[in-house]
This record gives sequence, C-alpha cells and structure tokens, in this order.
Amino acid sequence: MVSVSPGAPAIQPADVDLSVDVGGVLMDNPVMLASGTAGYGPELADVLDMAVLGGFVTKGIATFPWEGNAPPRIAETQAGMLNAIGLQNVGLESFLVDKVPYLSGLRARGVKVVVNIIGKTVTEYHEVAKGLRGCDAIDALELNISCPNIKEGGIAFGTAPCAAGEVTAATVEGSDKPVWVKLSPNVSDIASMGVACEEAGAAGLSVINTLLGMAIDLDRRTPLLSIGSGGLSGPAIKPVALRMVWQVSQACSIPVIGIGGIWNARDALEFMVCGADAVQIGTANFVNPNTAAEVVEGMRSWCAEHGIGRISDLVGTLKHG
Amino acid sequence: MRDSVSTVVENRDLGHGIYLLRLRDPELLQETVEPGAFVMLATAAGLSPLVRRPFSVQRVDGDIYDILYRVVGVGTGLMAGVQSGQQMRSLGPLGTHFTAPASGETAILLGGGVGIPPMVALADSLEAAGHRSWQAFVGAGSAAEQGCWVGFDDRYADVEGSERVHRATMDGSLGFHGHVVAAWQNWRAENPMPPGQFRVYACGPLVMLQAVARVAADESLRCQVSVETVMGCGVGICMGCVIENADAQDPELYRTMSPYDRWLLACRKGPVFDAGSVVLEGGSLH
Repeated sequence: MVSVSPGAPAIQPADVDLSVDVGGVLMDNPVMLASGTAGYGPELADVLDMAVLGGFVTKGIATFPWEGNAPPRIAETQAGMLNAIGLQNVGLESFLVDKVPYLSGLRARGVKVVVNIIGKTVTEYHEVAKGLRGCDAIDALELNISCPNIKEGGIAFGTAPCAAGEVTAATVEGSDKPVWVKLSPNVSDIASMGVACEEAGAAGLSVINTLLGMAIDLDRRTPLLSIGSGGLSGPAIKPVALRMVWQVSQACSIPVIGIGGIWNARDALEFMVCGADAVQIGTANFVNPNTAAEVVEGMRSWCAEHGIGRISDLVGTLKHG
Repeated sequence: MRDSVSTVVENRDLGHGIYLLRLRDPELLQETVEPGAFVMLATAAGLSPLVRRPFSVQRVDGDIYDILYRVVGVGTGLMAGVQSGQQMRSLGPLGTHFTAPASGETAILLGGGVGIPPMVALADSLEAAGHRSWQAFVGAGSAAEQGCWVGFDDRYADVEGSERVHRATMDGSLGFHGHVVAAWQNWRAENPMPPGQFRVYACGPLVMLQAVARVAADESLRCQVSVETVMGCGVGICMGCVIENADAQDPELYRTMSPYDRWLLACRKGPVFDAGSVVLEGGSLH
C-alpha cells in the first residue's frame, strides 16, 4: 500500500489525466506495447483490450521479409529471458497489405501506432521509411538500431554515435513521420548516443533494447541459444534501464520512452519519474498479456492517491543531488 | 483463447516423476478444447520461472481439464508440490488440433511418455463422435512409468470386445518389448490394412516422431504429429517456438517462398502439423 501524501487534494482515479505528448504524438496514456513483444497487433486482441493502450509498436519491418534465426531462439534466466529471434518479419509489402488494416482500426480506436523499422544498411532504413510515407495508419516510426541478434546492421549502427546519427538522418529524410530511435544498452556512454540521434533529427528516444547475454547447458557444455548469445529482457534488466533512461533524459531534450522489465504500474511510474515521457511493456506481455491494462489502471490509482492530477507532471521529478 | 485462473482439483502422483494434474476452469472451458490443443500454465506466482509452460490438454470433463506432466526442471518441480485448492494462471485453449479421420478410416494413435495426452484427447473426441474405429499404441521406458497412459487406463482399459490400447515398454517390463512405432508395426503385420483406410496421429519424443514420419513418408500415409518446442508465450508474439517448414528444404520452393515462412511458429501454426510439412530431422529441434 502506498500512503496518501499529506495535504494532497482528493482526486478520483477516473479524473487523473494520463495523456502525454511524446514529441507531437498525443497519446491518451503513456503505455505502449514494445516492438517484438506483441506481433502486429491482432495476436493479443483476444486477451487484452487493445483500446486501453496509449500506443502500439509493431514487430520490426524491413524492406523485404527476413527469416530470422534457427531455434532454439529463447532461453529463460533468473527473472528474465534471452532471445535471439533474428528479426523474422513479413517485410514492407506484406506489412502494408496484410497488417496495416488491423492497425488502422486500432488507430481509429485512439491507439497511436508506431512502426519499428530495421535494416542492414543505411539505404535499407531509408527505403523502409520511404515505403511507409503517406500511410495514415502510422503516427511515428521507431528506428531499431539496437538488435543484438543479427550479424549485420541493427546494433552495428547502435554502438557508434556517428553511425547512429547517419542512419537517423537518412530515415528522417525518407520519412514524413516523427522518428524515434531505440537505443542499445550495449554501449559505454548511452547519453552520447542519444545526443547524436537528437542532433540528426530524432523526435524521441526509446530506451532501452535488450542487453547482450548468454546462457549455457552446463552438462552438454553448449549455449542454450542457436547463435550462442542473445538479448536479455525482463525484470532482471530494469535497474540498468532505469539508469539509462535517467542519463539520456538528462542529456537530451527530446522525449524519452522508457523500456526494460516493466512488470506493473509502479515500475512504469519509476521510469517516468526518472525522465520517461512514456513507457513500453515488453516481456511482461508473454507472461501476463493483460499487463498493459493493469499498468494503466495502476497509474490512475497511484496518481490519485498521491494527488497528481496530470501524469505528465510526474516526468523527470526525481529528487537527486 | 482465455486468460484465466485454474484451480487445482487434484495433483495425483503416478510415480516415477509423473503427475496427473486436474484443474477446474469454467472460464477457459467456455471455449471448445479440440484434441491437440494446449494451455499455458504459470508454475509459480513470482519471477522464477518467468514464463508460463505449455501443456497438452488430455481430457475435459465438465468444467475440469486434465494435464499430464513429468518433473523435468524448475517449473515442473514446483508443480509437483501444488495442492488441491491452489490457483494457477492459465491461458488457452491454444494451437492447432488434429483433423478427424473420415468415417470409414481407422485412427492409429501413437503416444510416447508424456506425449500421450493429446492421443487421449483424440480418442475421447472420436468416441464422442461415435467413431469407435481407433487403435492406440502407447509407450514408456518401463512399467514404472505406466502412469503415462493413465488417461487410457481410466476410460478404455476394460472396453468389451477387441482391445484397442496396446502398451509397450523399452525394457520389456510391460507389454510389447520395444518402442511404440515398433509395437504398431508389429500389430500391422497381423492386422494388414490398405493405406487409404487409416490415418496416423502421433505425439512423443523427437526420435519417436522422426520414426513415425519416416514410415508415413515411405508409405505415403496421412499422418499428423504434435511437436514440442521451447515456448515463451504460446500466442505467437515472442516468436521463440519455431520449427522449420519442410518447403525450405526444397531448393526450388525455398527460392520462391517468403523468407518469413521458413520458420513456423509451433504455437500458432502448430503444435499439430502434417508430418511431412515440418522438418523433424537435422537437429534444429532440441
């Protein structure tokens, strides 16, 4: 139980304003589903009321379909899981034909749609962005320069500020939508990565993608994942994510979207206090597909109990130093 | 698909690390559980194990469903300790199911170890439809593991007339001495049947499915298998549980198919597949 702040005005949960402005994308609430953890939308619709979401981020899309990695692709670890999916995706053409209709419907219900895009070269990122021009089912792009599970592209752009800036600029140039950049935690100075993307025209920063990790079968002395290592997600990475959101939000002036092990409303609110304007739920969707709905309700209750009438007032209010 | 909470009715120790778990879940069972369907169960309330585990539904009886499991790791180890009245988060029913045989066909059900449950579900489904022409071949390592076929014993042990459940053990301590596929082949020698008059259904260890698929391919038999892969979510969003599409092994088809279709999600496109449509050999499954 949280205690009610003394002297706080009485606010009913229903009266709390959860809306946020993420770099011009106006969302009913700060809660999104993270890329690669909710498919292209319909997969979860049976067990989650998708309309409760502030936003939805699609599985990454490339110019052409990718097959992804051989299995085993996932392995469980303490309070987390490793994955090495390898960005298996339907490709731009199939996405526009087969996936956009559902997303249009979702958008009509007030959910902002963000398309995560991937590529192996700067040109490929540019091409996907261009291919999505004019698609009015989309509110923003999220540039994935941080996937640890493919041999080329992805994280190669996500670990050097100049390369991150170059691919960001090329995508911004090709797109008619705000471009968010999803940063990799596998760097020594994430703030400088954020700064480089901001200077290249990014409208938001999604922080963080998975941490490189590994799990092995001791008896067989083999890795549990087919490609050896993979990306660690889940509650185990939350402290790292929180630290990085705080650092990036201190260094950059564009909105930050907090991601990493969010399991409940308190986790999500911690990210906002540390500087996130919005949050994304990832691995929790696998465990409890209703997490996002519970987070939205939990945010209302917590804000009401603490006399906070507008959740955006909470952003970056960490008392430190 | 329902995201629900199941209440433990019974967690019966069948010996040798094998358990029959009976769960009450009127919410989940509002949907029809087809033979071959599975549920994801949370084995712990906390963060370890993190993800739910997939289990084939063996039998549905009113608002109760049964699953069978063997203790193999942390999650199933915790499950062995659950008591009547305890609750477990559930998600289901999920996945594809077996295609029923035509009215004149005999269903050959092959089940190995804790892969037997979907065969029980199929037998129940056939019986409910009045399709009595089925033969089940069930196997385990030894007589000590005969809890694996409790679903058949409970309902079909003493059916009058011809015996339809054939038991096999690897060590010969009970029933046929050898594996399930050998037991079936042995039976076939005495009960010949033209290929068009039966269909084969199988679930069990990978080596068993490989043996079944080889027989089916050699004789062009209609055959469906239920596969097990490492699964994270059960609903197609983590994309972890893939199995290789057999088309990808054909150079010409591989050239023309979408790369996206090389790896099939076992949770959505399966777990029941036509035996020839997925790659069971070659080691990409663990």
